[in-house]
Amino acid sequence: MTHALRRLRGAALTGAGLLVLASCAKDAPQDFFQPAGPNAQKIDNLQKPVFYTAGVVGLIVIAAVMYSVVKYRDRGQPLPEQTHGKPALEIGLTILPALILAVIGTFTARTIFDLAKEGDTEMVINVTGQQWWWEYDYPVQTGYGIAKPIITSGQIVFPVDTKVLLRVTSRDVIHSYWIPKLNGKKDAVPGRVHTLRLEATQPGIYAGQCTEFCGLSHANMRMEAIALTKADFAAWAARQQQPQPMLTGDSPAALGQGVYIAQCARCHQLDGLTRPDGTPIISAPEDNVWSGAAPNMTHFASRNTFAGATWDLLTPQCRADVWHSDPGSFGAKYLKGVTPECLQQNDLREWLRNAPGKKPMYADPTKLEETGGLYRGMPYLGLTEDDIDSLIAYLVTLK
Amino acid sequence: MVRNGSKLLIGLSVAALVSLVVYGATQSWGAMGVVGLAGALVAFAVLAVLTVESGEGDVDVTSPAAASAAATTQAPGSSLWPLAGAVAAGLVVVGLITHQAIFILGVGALLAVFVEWLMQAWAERASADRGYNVEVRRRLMYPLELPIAAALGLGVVIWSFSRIMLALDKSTGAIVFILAAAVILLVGFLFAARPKLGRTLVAGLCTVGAVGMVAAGIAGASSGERADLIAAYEEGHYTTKKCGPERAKYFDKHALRHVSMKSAVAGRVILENGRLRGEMLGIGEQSVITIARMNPSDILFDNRDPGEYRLAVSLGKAPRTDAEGNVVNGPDGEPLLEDVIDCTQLMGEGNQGMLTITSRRTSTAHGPFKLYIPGVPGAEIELVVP
Repeated sequence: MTHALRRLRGAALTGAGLLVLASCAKDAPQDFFQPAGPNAQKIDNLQKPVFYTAGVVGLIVIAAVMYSVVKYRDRGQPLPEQTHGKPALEIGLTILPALILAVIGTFTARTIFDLAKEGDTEMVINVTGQQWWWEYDYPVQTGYGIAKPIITSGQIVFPVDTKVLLRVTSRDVIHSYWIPKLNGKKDAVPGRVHTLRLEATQPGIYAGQCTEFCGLSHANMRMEAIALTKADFAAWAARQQQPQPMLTGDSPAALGQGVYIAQCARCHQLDGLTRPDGTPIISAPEDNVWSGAAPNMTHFASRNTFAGATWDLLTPQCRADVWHSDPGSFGAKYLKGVTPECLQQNDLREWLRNAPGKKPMYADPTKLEETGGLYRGMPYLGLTEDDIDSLIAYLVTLK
Repeated sequence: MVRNGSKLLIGLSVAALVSLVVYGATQSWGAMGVVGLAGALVAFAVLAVLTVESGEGDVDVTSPAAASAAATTQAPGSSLWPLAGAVAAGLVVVGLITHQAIFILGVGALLAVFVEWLMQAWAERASADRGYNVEVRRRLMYPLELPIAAALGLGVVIWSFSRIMLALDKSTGAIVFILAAAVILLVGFLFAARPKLGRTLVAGLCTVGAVGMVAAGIAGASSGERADLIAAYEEGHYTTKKCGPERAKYFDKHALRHVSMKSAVAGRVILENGRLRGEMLGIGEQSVITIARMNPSDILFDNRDPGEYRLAVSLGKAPRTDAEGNVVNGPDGEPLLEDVIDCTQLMGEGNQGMLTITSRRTSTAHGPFKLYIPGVPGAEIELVVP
């Protein structure tokens, strides 16, 4: 074996080894080879046989090519006999792939139609993408205790063993919604409503990621699907419909409420806040943000991520405790929300100090000609450290 | 040995680099012009390296004899490129005065002439063999020319067909295109049945067909779109309108037949037996219709009752604005408020109309909002904008 061949073999073995090692990742929350619901299971039931079939065909082709390359390589020998036409072989090599494709095509079509079913829907959630977060609004569905619409963001919460239909759209550019362990992808297109089924068999958190490039912070546009037992979901829904009380006094949280009203309420709706005359404070994100929307903050601390599910509000230990809890205790842990002892302040503090510095966004006031002065993302607010302290103290109360 | 073609490309690379630096320094390094000039620089530089490395083709540039023989054996043939270049330059000038599209067309033509002329001049000096030179030129240019020509040809066909279809009324259009398809089929059959037809005849028939199609397209473009399309455009393609006297004539009475509408329905409102009911995809009949704030939402109105009815939406009250968008104040200095209402057109029995609602405001703060049928007491359903 020549030196060059030995080096080539070494490189190939190293590459193969790394490939194998890469498949050993333990913490792979977006691994679509681990389906956690019937829809993802249907995809898995299709993709695995296709993957194996393609693998076998690929290996046969590679082996045949390698055999030909090695056996008939140029060693100065005369050209072998050149023949043309082998009807049996040619017909065989045409029919066999056609048959394989026909079988795969049949099962693929069946899976596509299965995944597109809507008739047996049990719950509907509207999903709206905008740069760079997802909004979830739950229309009135009294059967699930939703007597008035619920709006949340970052984390979509739904009951297990329930056929949930997502109605996916967008307020600005094209995004794509994908929770790999629960189903395939669905584009979110402005002006259109695309449907996607979601169903989980076990309580837990299932991570996802926007999969259509949508601008500067596309990589920071994540989502988490939270599956709760039906009882836990009812508790969550009941709490989400409650407005927050107005705080009084001079506690840090009450001071933070004042900062919130002065700085944040322009864009972020928080149900329950009122003016001195008793009228509700209604945000006007359409006056400030290009998409016309900003995350609803009414129950901010009931979620454990923020800024497009990009950063955690929980310390690593508390986060691991929730993420890796057994299905039986998951709901109780999730419903606790962000407790003072579990609050991880660093990312939230950096975010409030300078949001565009934390997450790339189009929020430079001098460069907003294209959008008529409207931001795409959260701008720098110039909060003082005291403002930030009190704001965090207030936000943690929003459960 | 660096030859003339390579020198030209090296010169263009240097010019692009200088322009890039000057443009970037005087304008902005983030401007699109910098990107364009950087692209030109890379393209010219790559071409320059390739031509230098390859000796501008297969000519043995290390042999002075071959190099000198290539340029001197035969005089170059006639060329249409100077004429084409003059026409392109004329288009640029005319475009500067009249219309941007003509200017862009002229610049595109100038670039094409530049590349073609450059390649022809180079190919004519590639060797002493004229046939070989022609072959070299084809080999280099056909992969570029043929796809572009095909795309342009397809564009002309699509443009001509579309202008003809937009100009003719629906029935005439169908007849014309059935006849056109029959003629094409007939001519194709003739070509297939008579394989020995002269090339001139075949080319002549194809030319007549192509010229006829383009001429009809130009005629269609000149006469403009048919009246109902213009009216539909002026009245709004879909059926949302300010409520008032009926004026639309050509509006869409079967909105759901549009492919674009099929996947855009946020909710369906049905008038049946004098009662209005709502349905939302996936959850069936609803006592309220919920739509997202600041998101255009299409509500389909389905009239199943005899007679003509319209669906109206009431979005509370809002300050009245003048034509410039300024808020109009009343005598007391407070903004004058007016009802925010939109409607579909009047829909006959069995017809469907689309009402697109974009609410900047929430129903909790400014509501209640409702969908209702004017003139039918009790036919209403709550609209929630959270």
